[in-house]
Amino acid sequence: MIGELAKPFDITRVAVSKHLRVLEQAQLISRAIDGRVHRCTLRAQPLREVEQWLAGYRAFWTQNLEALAHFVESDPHER
Amino acid sequence: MSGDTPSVQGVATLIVRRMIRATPERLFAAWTDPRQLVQWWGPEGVSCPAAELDLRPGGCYRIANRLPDGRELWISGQFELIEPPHRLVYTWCVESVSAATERVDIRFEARESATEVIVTHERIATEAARTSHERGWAGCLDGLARFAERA
Repeated sequence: MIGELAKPFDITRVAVSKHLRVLEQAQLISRAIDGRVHRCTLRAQPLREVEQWLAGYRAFWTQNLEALAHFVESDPHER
Repeated sequence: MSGDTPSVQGVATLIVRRMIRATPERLFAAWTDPRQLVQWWGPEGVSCPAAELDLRPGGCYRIANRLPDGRELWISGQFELIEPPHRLVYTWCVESVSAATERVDIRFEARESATEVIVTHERIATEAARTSHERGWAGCLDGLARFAERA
């Protein structure tokens, strides 16, 4: 429920509703409306997909920086 | 990826950090001098046969990446910000893979006797990444993913 979701944050309920609307548009949450009560449910699958393809980039940069470290640390006086 | 998932037009940002025992000056030079860059650039299995850098705002660069299967992929872009020895920002486009131009922001921050290198890869587009998965840059990245998961 929106009141519950808003509780830990130091922002207004209106602001929380706004954020939820964006999440809903991005299909990261789904909303069930029961009278005045809105229940939001996280849809984690799209996030999982994002994480999946980001893993490639993370691996690329992690290994690339590893190679840089090896290069400069193995011969710090070069040039 | 499931076919019924609507295509997401959003972009993502990735931050990778690494402490390296060297000065920001040394690292900045290793990153911007093509003769040095070719000696280290490329994750495991990827070598760098050539690199050209026109190090000035608006100047272009291109870096060859020889993949484990022998194919060569060029990463290219333009320098947006050059602040030696602490910061370097350039656009990032992987030849025949990227659907959009991404952006890489590299910071070299001095910490005691080391430097923290912070790479912020911005504007990673979902569609571009999907294309890259289909085209095979992913083939090389799969191996990298295994490495990253091990680390």
